[in-house]
Amino acid sequence: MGEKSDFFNKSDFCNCQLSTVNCQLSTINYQLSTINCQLLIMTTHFITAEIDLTEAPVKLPQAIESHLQKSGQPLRWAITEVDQEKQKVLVEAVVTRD
Amino acid sequence: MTKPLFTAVLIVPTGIGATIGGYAGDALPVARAISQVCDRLITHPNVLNGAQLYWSEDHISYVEGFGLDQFAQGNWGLRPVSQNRVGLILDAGIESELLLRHIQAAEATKATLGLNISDYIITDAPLQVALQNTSGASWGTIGNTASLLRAAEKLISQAKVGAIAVVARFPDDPESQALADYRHGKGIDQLAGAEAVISHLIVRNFKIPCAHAPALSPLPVDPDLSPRAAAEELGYTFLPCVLVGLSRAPQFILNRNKTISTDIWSEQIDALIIPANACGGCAVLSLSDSNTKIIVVEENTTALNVTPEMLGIKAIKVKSYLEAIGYLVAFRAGINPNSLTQNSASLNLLR
Repeated sequence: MGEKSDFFNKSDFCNCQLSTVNCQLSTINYQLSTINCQLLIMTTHFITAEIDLTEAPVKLPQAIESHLQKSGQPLRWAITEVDQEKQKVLVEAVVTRD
Repeated sequence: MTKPLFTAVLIVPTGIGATIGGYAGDALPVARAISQVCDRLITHPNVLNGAQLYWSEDHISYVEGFGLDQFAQGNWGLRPVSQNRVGLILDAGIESELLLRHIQAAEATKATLGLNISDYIITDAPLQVALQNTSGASWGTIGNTASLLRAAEKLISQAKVGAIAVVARFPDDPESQALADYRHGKGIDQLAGAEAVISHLIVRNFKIPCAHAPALSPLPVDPDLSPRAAAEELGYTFLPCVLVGLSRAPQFILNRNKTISTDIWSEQIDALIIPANACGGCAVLSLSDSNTKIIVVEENTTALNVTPEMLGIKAIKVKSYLEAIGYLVAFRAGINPNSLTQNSASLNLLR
């Protein structure tokens, strides 16, 4: 039983050392990913979206930008068509993605 | 008691084929005329940029489109300046002789106009502009956004510039029908959408004035060149107007708590003038529920069909910019425009 116990202790000790090394590696990976983020890898994308026409036109910019944020960070947009029958607007936009 | 400064905003959206303002700074006469009946006129590069041609006035503010939208939403204020220190970003994709032409254009504005152009930087990689067009508007994307932003960051941190001019290499397409139409004063400016994306990226990320001039190969002479497009075919670059505009472009103020008396905020806008079928932009929508009088000009047709009635925007419809100017004069004088017509109505009894 004692021998078995010794084995487990050595194994545990090795595992502990390994997990320490893994922790250190994770830290290095985290630091690298932080640096990569800081390099601002950003892409631009042209998209279109159909948005409900709101009762108050002043609320449209927020409604449009909230919708565009599902696809990226809005950079430039405009309503290019209005479907009065369906009460919808067609928005053309360029969004950015990191 | 000091009279408040009458402030107007003039917008001619870029890249939608506006019959007035959709070409080479051909809305500049409109801006000059409107500015004579306002204490302050705020407008954007598409209106004031005429490549080699420009007109600078103390009370006309050159505000990039993204910044103008933030201003109209009430998020940013505008702080007039005497002079900006301007930096220049040149796309690594510009061939050497054309690059030299742009550097010399910038040096000319320093020597002949006394502009404060500090440094230029060449991007670490070609920006790779790509054009995209729908039936009603021109758009575009940038293949190498990070390179553009790195260049801007370096100019701001090392050269301490307060405004940035960008020159990106645009694709040449001399045989295209779209270009022929544009040169003949018809159709849509195919470059405009991508140009706006470039300056929007800088303004959104760094919150400083920015404007763009495309680098293109010279075109062969065309005897049918429209006067509206002619300003862009006088020289090798489109850069001088951009540098002039940026040299006195107002700085953006992000914090109302740090505002000073000369700053301008959206609640001070008395009137907004915009083409009648191009009312789907952020600025006009944001101001639709304010005290700003929105004047839409029918004669300035565009490729779009987005009218104020379709969106529920209350607007004054006029036929021409001349009529718009008449309304501005009346508003500035505190006169009800109806009293200048034979349709002056009696008082209404409120029950």
